[in-house]
Amino acid sequence: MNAGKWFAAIVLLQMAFLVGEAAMRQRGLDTGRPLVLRVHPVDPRSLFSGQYMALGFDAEDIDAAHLPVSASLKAGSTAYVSFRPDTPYARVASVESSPSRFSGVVPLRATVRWRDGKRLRVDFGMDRYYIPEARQAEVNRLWWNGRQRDVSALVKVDSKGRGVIEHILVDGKPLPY
Amino acid sequence: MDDRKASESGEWLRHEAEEWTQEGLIRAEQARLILARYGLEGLETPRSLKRALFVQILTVLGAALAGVGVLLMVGANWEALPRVARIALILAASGGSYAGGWFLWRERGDHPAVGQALILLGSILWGAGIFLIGQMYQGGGAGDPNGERMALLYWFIGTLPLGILLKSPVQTALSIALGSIWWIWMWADSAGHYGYGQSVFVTIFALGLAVFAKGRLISGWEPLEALGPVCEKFGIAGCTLGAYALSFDLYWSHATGSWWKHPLLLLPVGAAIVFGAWVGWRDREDRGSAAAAWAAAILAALTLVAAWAVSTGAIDAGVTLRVVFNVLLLAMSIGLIWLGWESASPGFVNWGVAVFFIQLVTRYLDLFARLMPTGLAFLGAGALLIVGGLALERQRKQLLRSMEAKA
Repeated sequence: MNAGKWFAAIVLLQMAFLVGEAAMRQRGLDTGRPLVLRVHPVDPRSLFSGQYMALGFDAEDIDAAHLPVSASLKAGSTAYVSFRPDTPYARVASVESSPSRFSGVVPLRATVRWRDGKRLRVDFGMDRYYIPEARQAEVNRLWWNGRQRDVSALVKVDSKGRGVIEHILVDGKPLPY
Repeated sequence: MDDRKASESGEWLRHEAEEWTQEGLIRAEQARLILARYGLEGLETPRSLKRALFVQILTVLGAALAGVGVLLMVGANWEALPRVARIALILAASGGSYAGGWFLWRERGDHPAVGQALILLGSILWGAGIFLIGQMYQGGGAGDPNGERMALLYWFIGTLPLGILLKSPVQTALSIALGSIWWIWMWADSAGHYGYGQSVFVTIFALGLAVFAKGRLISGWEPLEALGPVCEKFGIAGCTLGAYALSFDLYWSHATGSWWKHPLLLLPVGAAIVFGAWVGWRDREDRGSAAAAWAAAILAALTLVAAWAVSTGAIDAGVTLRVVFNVLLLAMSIGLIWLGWESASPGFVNWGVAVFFIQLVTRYLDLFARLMPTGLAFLGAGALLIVGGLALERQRKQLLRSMEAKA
């Protein structure tokens, strides 16, 4: 194969990677099961990706003393937090090292950050919601009033437990961006 | 001189220029300038070659600027465009840039500088695309398996083959920069778990040694020869940055833990030892290259010993290693000046002089700023900068002149 063909092959692989990456994430949004989780937003900035709300999920801090939590989970391991959809927010039902097979629960994949006797801290890997530059002031207000407002995230969870944020909801209404 | 004689002397000059380059007496671009002087570089003249170099620098800067512009546009989060349109736009921009670059550089061949710059722009746009997709689907955070750190790794893996295939130094520079940032980021996260940020600089130092040794290794291998100098420059920059940071005492305080056996440190140390020893043996006839390669291997081994000693508390890191790295930095600046002189590379000489000067001023400020009033200390530092600068510039010029005479 000559250099031109190698060049074309590498460029095509690069383009296929972008399309595949987008398609995988879009599929999660289109076919995933919905969950509403309570969040608390702040607004930092990424050098590469721009302005975003940094999100912390209340459900990332788990009361291991009163919930069934797999004993094999330790810092760095992959966990599946099973949620039971509820109103206004989904509730944690259990935390396991593999996706729960029970119907009626939605297992969301997470990474264990730390664990002590009574508490388990996990990371859903969905700690960003990007915002247009022009809306920064609006998000700042949201952050300052965050404790008084009801801020949550509508998350779609695909069959492998990967979550994607579809919308941020403020007092139950999605942000327009 | 008749045509036959002219042709023979042309061939002789070509042959000699090639040998001078191989022996390190002159650089490849100097050889081209000499050949152009005698009409042996096609239609190129020394003036047109110099202009071509200027055009190349200008277009690469243009590509970098355009790429940064796209990254900023991505950062602005264009809500007005639907997702499919955003992806189509980034694919078209990246693909178009690649195609245009290839056409101008390799197909038509009449605008190689612009073509290379367009291919570089294509790679930057492709990387921006990875971040754009992450942004569109609210990914990118530290906990995201495909977060920004992974995006950098994908970007590095995706662009590296292009640098190798095209033998393009600028494309390779982009890949090495991306790979290095990813590596340091990975380490910084691990170091965060240990709580020992100073180990980041030990890793930067080791990574610099490994990249430098790799540069030396491929410099002697024809298929990748053109990429060697880029690796060497990156490697030296990494080494000096790491050694400079470690010459301060603050990075060595509380430096205990088991970080010395982390794979992200062991891998570059191992690579520097293997590549350095390999090149040292291979280039044993070439004093400059062999000494530089062995130095990289030995420093890598010593780095591991130092990291182990600090981790286990075998030595008083706060004092001992600060002194060691100060001596090392000094040795590196002298070594770089010597290497530059040996291999007829003014870049090494300039870098060595700059490192020496920065170290001198830093230590002056470290020591005397504590002993005298701030104003006086700055006055002294200013005087030191001017006098030292003059003296070093004179020394540097003398060295460069003697290098010319040697050539």
